[in-house]
Amino acid sequence: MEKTKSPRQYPPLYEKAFPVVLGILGVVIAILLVITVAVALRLMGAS
Amino acid sequence: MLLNTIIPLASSIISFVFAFFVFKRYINRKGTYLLFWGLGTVFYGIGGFCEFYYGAFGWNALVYRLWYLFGAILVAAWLGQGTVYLLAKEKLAKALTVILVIGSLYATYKIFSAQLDPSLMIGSGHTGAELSGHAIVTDGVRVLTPFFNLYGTVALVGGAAYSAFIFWRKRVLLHRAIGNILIATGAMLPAFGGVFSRLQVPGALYLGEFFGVILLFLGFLRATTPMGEATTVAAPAD
Repeated sequence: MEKTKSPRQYPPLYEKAFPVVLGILGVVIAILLVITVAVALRLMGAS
Repeated sequence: MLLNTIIPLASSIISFVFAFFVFKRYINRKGTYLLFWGLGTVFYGIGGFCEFYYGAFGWNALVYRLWYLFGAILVAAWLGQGTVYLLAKEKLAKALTVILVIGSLYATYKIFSAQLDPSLMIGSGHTGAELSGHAIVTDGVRVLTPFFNLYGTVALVGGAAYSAFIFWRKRVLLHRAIGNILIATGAMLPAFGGVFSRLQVPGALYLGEFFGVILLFLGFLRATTPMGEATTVAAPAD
């Protein structure tokens, strides 16, 4: 099934930057969750 | 000196100014999410002030308990609850609020009845110059922290990142997409500050909180200040 393209676009700089930033954010969130779960499981010292 | 007094004081002042803006918007627009964000930013400010107090004047049991309650346990969860109200169905948000309030009351009881020993903040690589949870002697208190913070992190960071993704995918409301990215990033910084603090990096927690609240505030201002239609343009025909 063909994906429908959004009829609008952000300015070029944001078009390029957003996928990268969102990707980085996703990876960092995943790392943070792993650390938080590790703390919850007492693998690291709680604050 | 600068790291343990001026930085947390600055975090605290920025948090209270931020809270003023959030409550002002709440008064004008209503929205339960703004109420929770406002309370969360007040908690952030209280936490920062307690850190400043400890850095400037030394140990005080009440200040420590307030810091641990508001700064270490409640702030992320209550900010996150605002995002839950913004994104989730009202029924679910209300149910989670009941759980959060009961949990917060329980945490308050546990912290204010806990036995403290400030000498335990020195050791294991910590100098005692910064506040840490090590001063709590009683079992069953520090174990509460990650549960509140996990909930707050998932809700606040995840919610902001999800919102930014939705705005970007639809190519609408650029200011909100940018604002949400700033909010997600800002909300992560204190968490990473806490991690690096555990890894014995001096000042990591306070700096994480300082830059975190700046990004949260900028994100809020960006998300609530439209940039105009000119920033979203029609895509060229393929």
